[in-house]
Amino acid sequence: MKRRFLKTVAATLLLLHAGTLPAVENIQFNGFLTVGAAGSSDDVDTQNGNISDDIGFDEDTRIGVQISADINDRMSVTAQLLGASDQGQSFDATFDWGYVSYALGENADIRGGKIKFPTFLISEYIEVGYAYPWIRPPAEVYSSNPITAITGADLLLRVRLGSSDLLAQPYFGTASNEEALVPQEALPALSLPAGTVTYANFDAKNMAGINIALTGPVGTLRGGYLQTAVSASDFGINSKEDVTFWSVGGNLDWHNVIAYSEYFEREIDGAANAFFPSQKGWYATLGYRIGRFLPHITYAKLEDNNSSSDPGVALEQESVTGGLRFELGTGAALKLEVQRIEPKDGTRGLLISPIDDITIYSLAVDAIF
Amino acid sequence: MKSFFKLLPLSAVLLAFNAWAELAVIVAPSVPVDSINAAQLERLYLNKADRFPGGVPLKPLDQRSGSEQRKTFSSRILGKSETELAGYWSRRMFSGKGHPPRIVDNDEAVIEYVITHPGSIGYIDGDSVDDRVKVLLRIP
Repeated sequence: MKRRFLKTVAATLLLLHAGTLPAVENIQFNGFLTVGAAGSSDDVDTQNGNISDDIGFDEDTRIGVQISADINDRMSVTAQLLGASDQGQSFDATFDWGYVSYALGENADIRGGKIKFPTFLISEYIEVGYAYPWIRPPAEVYSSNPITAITGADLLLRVRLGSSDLLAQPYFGTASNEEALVPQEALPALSLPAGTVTYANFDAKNMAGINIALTGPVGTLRGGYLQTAVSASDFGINSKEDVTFWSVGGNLDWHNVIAYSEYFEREIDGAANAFFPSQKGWYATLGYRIGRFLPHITYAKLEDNNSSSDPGVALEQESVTGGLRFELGTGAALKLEVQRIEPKDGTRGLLISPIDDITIYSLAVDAIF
Repeated sequence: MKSFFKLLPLSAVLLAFNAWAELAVIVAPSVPVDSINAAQLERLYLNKADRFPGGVPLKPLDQRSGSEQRKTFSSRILGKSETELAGYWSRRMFSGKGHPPRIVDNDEAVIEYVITHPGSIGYIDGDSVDDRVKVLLRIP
């Protein structure tokens, strides 16, 4: 699937290149890079196996290149190539997403292709560490939707309201062959030993959603809703199970005060619930910019959103993160973070096995070029 | 990056110069717009609008990072430091919601570009203005 997508994008770009030579002038390349090291205080890994008590680079190291080209006054093509370091996987670069955009008018665009869609405030540029204060956005919220891009179309409708801009973004599509981390609780049913990090393929069909965002001079408020039907033949989930997902959030950049906060709920029905339980969560971040320094603190919580009849074991945890971002001139930043995680209610939280609490130390450098 | 650091001492000198430098916002004489205000300029330069109110499309041009003209324009019209602008563009650009303006070398290059590409808008030192271009706004 990914390979076919890559070929399509490459062919499209080639075609555009050959067909309209004047467009060469308008091709832009922009890149981003994060190199990060992290280690934990105890011998319990994070559930994706990327952070352990040995210092490693797997969680926060990646490089990306975005290519965009104006075809004419109304049309443009944008695609992103991403290479990420991840446990047990090589540093392969793939086309993460790519689409064609067409301006329907001054305030409306339609886009088609593989589109990175905004489940949360920073979902569309989650790989670009330079663009946000933390080393990684709060996992209690950001790990809740494994689907980051859809194959389909969306509309971008913009309305100006005084000094603010309202964006309404309905989208529709599918996500095939997506990867989701198999929860530890589901391993016995698959005859896999505890502590195995494995990913399962799943399909999401008829995915429909809307994102609404109001951006003013000091920040953004947004809300989103999506519904889809998932199946995962690896788990014997062949019937399509309904999933609903909604989220609200906002951020503020006022004088030197930086704040972010978001909340989400997801509900997953039927057989899929055993593997992907219903969850809800939120976080709040407060920071204060002092020259080139941005110290910040985050509280985050992941909770159960199951009804009593649901089979799934929801994961619960709380974490407090203290961090410091330091601007290395323009276009690069150094970040330090210490995070204290406490799994709750007898669950393992977002760790691979239960523990009372654990501390994660992280350091990263982000750059854009 | 390297040039940014090299230009730091230079820009300190130029900051003092800023106190009396005036910028002129220019377009080609054929562009059917005669004036623009600071708020309209800000929307064009932050890619929140791609046309002048009334429907005339205008593509903004920036000068080199670290240039006196760029610093004056960024602080007086956009109200953002270079670091804040880099953060702003990283969020816009990598979410596929627009690009920072095209960068041209100096005042003469801005003039050359706007007259060869009507529909472009740029800013130059007020003293560099000549009769090849139309001035929409002077920024004291």
